[in-house]
Amino acid sequence: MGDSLRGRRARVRRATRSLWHELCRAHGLTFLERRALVRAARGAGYATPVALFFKPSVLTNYVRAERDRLSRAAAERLTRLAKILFADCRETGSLAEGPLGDDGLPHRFAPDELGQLVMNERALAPV
Amino acid sequence: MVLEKSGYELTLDVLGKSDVNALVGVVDQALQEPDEKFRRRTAEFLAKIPDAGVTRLLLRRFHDIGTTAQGALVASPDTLLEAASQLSAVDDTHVRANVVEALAALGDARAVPLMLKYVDDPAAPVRDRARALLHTVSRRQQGAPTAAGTKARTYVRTALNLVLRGREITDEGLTTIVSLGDEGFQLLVPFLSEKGADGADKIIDFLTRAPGIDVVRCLFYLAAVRPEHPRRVARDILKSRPEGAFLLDVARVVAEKGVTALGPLAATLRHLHWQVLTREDLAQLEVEAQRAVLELVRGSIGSTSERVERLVPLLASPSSDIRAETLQSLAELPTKRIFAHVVPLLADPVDVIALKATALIDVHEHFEAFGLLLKQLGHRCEHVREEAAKKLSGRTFFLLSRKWEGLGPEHKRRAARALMRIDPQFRRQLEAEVDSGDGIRVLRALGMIRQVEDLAPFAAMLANLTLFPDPFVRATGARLVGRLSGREAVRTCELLLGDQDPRVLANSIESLSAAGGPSAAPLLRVFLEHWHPRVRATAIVELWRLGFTDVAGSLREMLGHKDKRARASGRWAVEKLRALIGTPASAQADRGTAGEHAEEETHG
Repeated sequence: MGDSLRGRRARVRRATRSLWHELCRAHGLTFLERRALVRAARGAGYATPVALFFKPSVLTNYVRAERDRLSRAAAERLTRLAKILFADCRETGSLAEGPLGDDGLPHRFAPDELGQLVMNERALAPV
Repeated sequence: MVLEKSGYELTLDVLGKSDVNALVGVVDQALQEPDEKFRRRTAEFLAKIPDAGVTRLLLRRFHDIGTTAQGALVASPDTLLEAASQLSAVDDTHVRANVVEALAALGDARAVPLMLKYVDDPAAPVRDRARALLHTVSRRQQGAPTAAGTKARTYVRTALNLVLRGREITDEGLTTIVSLGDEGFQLLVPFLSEKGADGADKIIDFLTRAPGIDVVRCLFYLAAVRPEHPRRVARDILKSRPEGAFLLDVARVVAEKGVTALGPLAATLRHLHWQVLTREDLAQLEVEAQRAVLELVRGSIGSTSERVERLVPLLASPSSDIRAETLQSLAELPTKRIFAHVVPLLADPVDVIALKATALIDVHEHFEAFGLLLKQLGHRCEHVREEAAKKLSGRTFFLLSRKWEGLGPEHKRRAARALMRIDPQFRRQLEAEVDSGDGIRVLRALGMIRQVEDLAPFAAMLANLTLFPDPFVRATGARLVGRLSGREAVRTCELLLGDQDPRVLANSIESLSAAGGPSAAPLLRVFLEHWHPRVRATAIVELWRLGFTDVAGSLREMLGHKDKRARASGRWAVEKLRALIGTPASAQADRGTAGEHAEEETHG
């Protein structure tokens, strides 16, 4: 209470930036992964990439929607990120529902390729 | 073994260490996720964070956050009510519906006033939900509500019943309602809007006699509502209550709202019986409230005398500002009948008020005013003295003459000196009086001149008095000449020494001694041989005063004179010399003086 609008905005900016750095560090994201998140957030229409840490559906939706435009490496990276950030949410069905299709796979990927992604060591043992 | 956190759990852990209040926009994204379990998990985490912003966020999504988070919110009713109050102005229908839901879940009677805001909500789902939940809450707290009457009034009755804790309108219940503030007041409007409605008479009766500032606030609220009947009822009640305590509360409420914000109600308040307020009443009132009363009374409707009556109590205000402004208001009224009320303020401890009161005294209307103004001439504050003198200016001599005999010595002195300094006409009028030739008038003028500090302006006039036929006037003039200085005074004294009247001579001798000093001794010695003992005695005293102690022989001669008048004058001279020398002890120490001899002679 008592914050001016400008002061409040600055505080929100600082807190958002700080949370972004903390989350990236906590999850051990590399530069390329961070950049991929930033691009995905921009592409999905979010003002800040931090939102993607709280939106399990966005990454998978984005990969599915942009599968024709994304490079294979980028798609893999984003899918891997979804696994890292919401590793403990799988049982909730967030990742299983919708975006990846009934089989849970992006349509461009063959099941074995996805299996490799799922078995990615970083996804299984997050830093 | 310690398991490391990962995935979303790790994200929430990091979030918990951040400034969550600033991140509610980001967190809100999580509460909008389609995955119910994910939403609930996030909400449960947030519900543990004691932050008003987070509480508001959860309240906005109350329907979607799951029972655990809902339970955590309801467990803190104060926080929830505050958040609900802050969200009551939000435009989003979804948010309003969630707030209503949360208030219903709270089941607290304190939620009723907030919930009443939603019973007329433009969104039908919110409105219906609010009404339904109000009934639910009412049943939970009170049992079955009385559902008689139209559907539109049902919710009001329900709420009223809930708050009243009974099935009838009672004083206790109405006291509770008016203590709720605007939410409580609005409950009364439907009842008062319909003439003869159930309970309307009881409510009017309550508002007409119940004490307390809440009742006044309620009347103010009702006096400004759109329906005409409650508005008229409230205004009539406001005008009809003459109790001092009620008026004090009215003043406090006016001070809260500000006089300028009262609008049409200000006209009603100007009819109130402010004159019933006593000094003791005002002493209880805050300065701001007193100022509100003053503002209302200033513009009050009524005859001038009524307005004076309403203003007068404020003259006793403990606040000097209020007293000063009240005086100013009285001064602006077209009446001369404020004299009696203003008089006590002439002695106000605050000089500014004494000054204003002095300015309000009309010397032409009240004979007593002159005496009061003369008294003000001795006031400690220079501005007050000047104001008093200004009021007296022009008529000062005339008025001073009328009051002169009744004044004490100190007031005579102060008045004459102040008028001489301030009123240029005063001196001219004094001179004119002396020139009138009427002995009584001349003597009175001389009495005034005597009080003046510097007699130099009157030197010529006093010189002219040497030819005045009345010896008493000449004697008085001769005494005053002694207070002059310089050759002119000596010359006047010399003229007076040719007078035949012993009183004139005696006074002239004293004046010459004072004005001429030792150089006047040869002339004074002539009068040691004067035929009149009083003149001789005066010459002896004055020569002694100038240091010529050889007059002891003359004094001894007087004391042993065969004429008793000469002996009496001798004794008078002895007394004067004794006073001149000092105490009897010092006189004894100065043995061999004429005074001692004279005293011995007196006793002998």
